[in-house]
Amino acid sequence: MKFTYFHLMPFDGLPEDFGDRYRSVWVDIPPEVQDVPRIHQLYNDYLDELEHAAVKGFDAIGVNEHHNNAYGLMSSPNMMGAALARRITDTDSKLLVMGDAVPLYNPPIRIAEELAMLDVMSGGRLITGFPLGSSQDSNFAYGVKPATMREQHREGFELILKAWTTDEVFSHNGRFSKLRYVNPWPKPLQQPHPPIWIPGSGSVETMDFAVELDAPFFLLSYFGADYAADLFEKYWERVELAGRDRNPYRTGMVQLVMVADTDEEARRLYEPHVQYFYQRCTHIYPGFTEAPGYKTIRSLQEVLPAKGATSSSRPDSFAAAQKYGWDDFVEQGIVIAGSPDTVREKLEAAAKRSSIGNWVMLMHIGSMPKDLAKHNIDMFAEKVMPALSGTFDEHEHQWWPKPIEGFQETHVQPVAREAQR
Amino acid sequence: MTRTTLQTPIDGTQIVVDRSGLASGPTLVWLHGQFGALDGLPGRDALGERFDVVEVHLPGWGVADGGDRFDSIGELASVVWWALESLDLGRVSVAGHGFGATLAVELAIQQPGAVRSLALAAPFGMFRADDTGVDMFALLPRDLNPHLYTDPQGELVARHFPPPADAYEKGLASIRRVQTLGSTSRYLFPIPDTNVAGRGYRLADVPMRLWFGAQDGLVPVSLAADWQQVFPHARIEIIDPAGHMVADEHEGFAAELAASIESLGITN
Repeated sequence: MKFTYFHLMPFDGLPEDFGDRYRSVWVDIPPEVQDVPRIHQLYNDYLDELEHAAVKGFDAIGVNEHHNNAYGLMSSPNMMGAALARRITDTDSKLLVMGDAVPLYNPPIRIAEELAMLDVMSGGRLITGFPLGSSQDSNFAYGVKPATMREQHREGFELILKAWTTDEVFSHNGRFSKLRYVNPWPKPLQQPHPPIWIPGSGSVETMDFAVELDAPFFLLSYFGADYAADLFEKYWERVELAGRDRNPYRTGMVQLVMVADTDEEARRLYEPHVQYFYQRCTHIYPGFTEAPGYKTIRSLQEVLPAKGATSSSRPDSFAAAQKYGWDDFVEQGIVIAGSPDTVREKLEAAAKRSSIGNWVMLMHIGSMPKDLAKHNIDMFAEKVMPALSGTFDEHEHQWWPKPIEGFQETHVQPVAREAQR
Repeated sequence: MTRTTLQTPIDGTQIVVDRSGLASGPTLVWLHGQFGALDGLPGRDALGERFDVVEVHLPGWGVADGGDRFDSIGELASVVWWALESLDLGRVSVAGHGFGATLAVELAIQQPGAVRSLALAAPFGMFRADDTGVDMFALLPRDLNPHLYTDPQGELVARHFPPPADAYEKGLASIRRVQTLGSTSRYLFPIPDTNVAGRGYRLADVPMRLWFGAQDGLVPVSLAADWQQVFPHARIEIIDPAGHMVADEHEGFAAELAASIESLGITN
């Protein structure tokens, strides 16, 4: 199994009555809620945590992209990737950027360039993810038309791939962008290109896209593997139909994980931060989560309740989670938290049931301070990860950065923390 | 009423046309709003006594298929013209509500000589940063309805959007909303400004009548002044009380629409 320490970089200064006072943490959250000096501190704390995870042996560290929000402060994942690239060269950690939401970049060649730079800078450590982007980000913050967003994503993705793999200057006459001369310098270090993972929230189109590409499908959910079990089976059916094997490395999942000495201690340490996350960080006006056209009719028909059903509310929704307590989160598998044995058993069971080989671990949660986040990292890295890392070793991970034959990595010497004056 | 499905020879995009009324009368083309046809042309029966009524179902709104390749309202207008020309209607009066009114303006900009008159109820197409109106693409139905109707609990709302009997029907209603507003988003997202102001000079010789709802939350009534500035010759009415669904809420709409066409002395 592969473990990525993934960070959302949330703002920790949302007031206790945020949900009552404000409509949404995303899109139209009032600027007055910002505390920019505090965000300076947070950026640096969060980068420290990511570096610490790399040093402690996580297989990868991960960043992503969000806009107009206090849920995740990274409007530029590539900027964060660049800040990390030179700081992890004395570790074995890879760098996951998941990702650049393709429709937000016009022309999308910008993504091809910046990710290639990151791959070259980091010595071929990059793993890329190409999400469609959330409706909050893509539609409402960036004005991408929801009805044509998937086509735009597809066109941009294909352009990026062609730009990375074509050994000649070419023209791109697309529906969404037009370029006479496509010629990005440099190409990525990894050949033909860095590994590509396809993240999504479970739409059939995204699953089919991943299968078509023969790339891992990554479920971006904050509700745990139990709720995702049926969805993963749908995905595996599609993999089988395509004539491919049930290699667990074809899948990945985001999971909130918290480790302490005991189950009770985990509750004491982490409960306030989990509540902060589900009551404030995910307090999103529902109209912002799915602009009309963002989800296809086909995807909506797939989740139609049965005729005569009395309720269409789902327990795995942010609206439902607003009311959950610690026991609800733990019992439903939304968070995996507890002693090292508890966490290991639950993770292993979920991984084996749905054949999930890549775990994108959300271990800094909500308002968690840096010291507690580092404690969580240490506990997991020392007491859980060693027992699980060998799981699925019988399968080849074809979507992981591989050493480049003959390549000699430059010895990087980041400037010492005590500046020479 | 007779229904005709027209299909373009290129990508199979459909335009569905419902035709009713006085075949020998002047032709009135009605373009539905962003939520689809709903009840159709308000006052259809009365208008049908005097006009050849042509109600157009636009591609992508649930009755007619296609439109997936369109990125601009100009492309949609072109295919509507193709359909109207296929029916050999000659010069027509064009009326519409909401998005349909926006499209009506686009038709006239493309072919001002083919449009005898324009009647626009709550048209999108201009935008004020200091008075934006609410975002119809973001608001949940419960939050949007008070901006559409003066009585959000009233009979008209129940007719347009029948309360679902169960979760399945609620899901179907949600799909319908995604289909109609999703199609609208191709042309009016994120800002419903189609640069009418920059191209309005094309309509200097087209008679125009407009209605704005005083309580319209989507097309703020302040925009009436902007439309008047671009179209000094237009007759503009502010209906109070009326929300965005001014064509349905204003009892005098059909009679005023008929009068606006008949005042031109048009006969077929």
